[in-house]
Amino acid sequence: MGIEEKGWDEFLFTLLFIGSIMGILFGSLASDSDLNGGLFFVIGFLLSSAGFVYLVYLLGKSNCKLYKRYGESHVLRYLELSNSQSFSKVIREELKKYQLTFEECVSLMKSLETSDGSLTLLLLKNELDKFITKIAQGDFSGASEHMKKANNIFKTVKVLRPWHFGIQYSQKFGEFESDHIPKVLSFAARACDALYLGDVEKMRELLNEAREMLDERDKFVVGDVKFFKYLFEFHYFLLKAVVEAYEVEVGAVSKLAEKQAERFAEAKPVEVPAHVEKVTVSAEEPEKELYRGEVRFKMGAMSQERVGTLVITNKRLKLTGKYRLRGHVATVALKAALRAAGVGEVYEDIPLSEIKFLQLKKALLGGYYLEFKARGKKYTLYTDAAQHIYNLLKQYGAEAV
Amino acid sequence: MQANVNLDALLEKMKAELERVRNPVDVEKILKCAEAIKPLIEERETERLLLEIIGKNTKHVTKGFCHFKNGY
Repeated sequence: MGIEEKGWDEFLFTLLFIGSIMGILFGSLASDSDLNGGLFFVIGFLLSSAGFVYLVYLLGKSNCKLYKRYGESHVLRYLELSNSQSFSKVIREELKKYQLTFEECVSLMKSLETSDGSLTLLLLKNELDKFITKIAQGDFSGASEHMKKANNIFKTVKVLRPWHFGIQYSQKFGEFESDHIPKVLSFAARACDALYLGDVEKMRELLNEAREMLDERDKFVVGDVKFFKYLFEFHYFLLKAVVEAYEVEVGAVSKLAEKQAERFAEAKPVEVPAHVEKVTVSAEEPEKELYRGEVRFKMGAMSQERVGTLVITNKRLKLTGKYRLRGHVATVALKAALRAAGVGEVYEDIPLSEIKFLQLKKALLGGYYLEFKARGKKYTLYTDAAQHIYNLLKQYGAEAV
Repeated sequence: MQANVNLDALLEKMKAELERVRNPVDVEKILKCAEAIKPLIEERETERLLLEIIGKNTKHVTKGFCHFKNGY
């Protein structure tokens, strides 16, 4: 009560103070010309300020009513939900909707409290096991799904506290307050999505995010559980390997493109004969290498341009592209991620008779390139020896347009 | 940290951590308990925020008029 009365006094005092100062000011101004006018003015001013005080009083009263009507119900509900005893009454009612009894939850909480090791790992074990299986198979889409499920489970169980069920505080539940666990889970899920889609731009973003998290990765250790730290590191290294391989590949492509342009500028123009003699190669004839060289190639219309080795024999066309990883051990997951990013290992071995729709096309910046279809895929080869290769393929049985 | 890290080794380490977890609990039921509690905890949080907002907006004008038996 004391504080509130003081507040009221302050309020009234301020108003009266301002009122009297103004009154004296206006009064003295008015008295210079007309004494009566000044007096009326002062009285009028005092009356109006009294009216103003009353108005404010009324306003405050209605505000107070509002406050009492809404505020008090909120206070009561808040207190009901904050107190352990009244909370357990509320939760008993709520649990009926979930066909659970209060006692069941109590015994479950007790079993959690007495379990060994990390509560989080215990609760997420099923999803995390499935996640590991999917990752080991290189299935990032499935892995991401399980990671998201695990994150949702964590977000749900993290509200659980022993006092909700009238059990004393337990150190174990402190894990649920960790902001680092959901951070790692969400990071892993987003990384899996980017790896599945082969979205290198997104991978770069995530890698930058991961670099900022590197310093705090010791905080991902919960008690003596290092799982979440390993989970973070795994995705960090995976993203790093893919992004690096991609960048090296793109660098190699532009380097070779430059070299090819130089060679093309120096070379004498080659006429493409309209007609070439077909050569039939019997099955008994030994295989003989006709051409070997470095080319830029694309498999599929929208795919990443690569650098590879093209070998043409009198029977087959072989195209190999290796990923340029130094020192990394190629796991299934890494291979799958590289393949999705378009920089995976390529080993194409096509009999010449399976090459269809062979075309020699003029490049925009001069020179030629080759296009053909085989086994339902479209291949594009960029090389300064395009005309020569075109003739060879046509001669040895490829079907030109 | 080594640049050349065996990803397989990290996978194995994660597997080993998960294998250490024994005494499987009924996760489905625990989830249900948590699901029942979650809206109540959220409600408590909104009530708390609401009280803060009401308190802030009306504090100055109503200081002299209002009195709460529960206090806030």
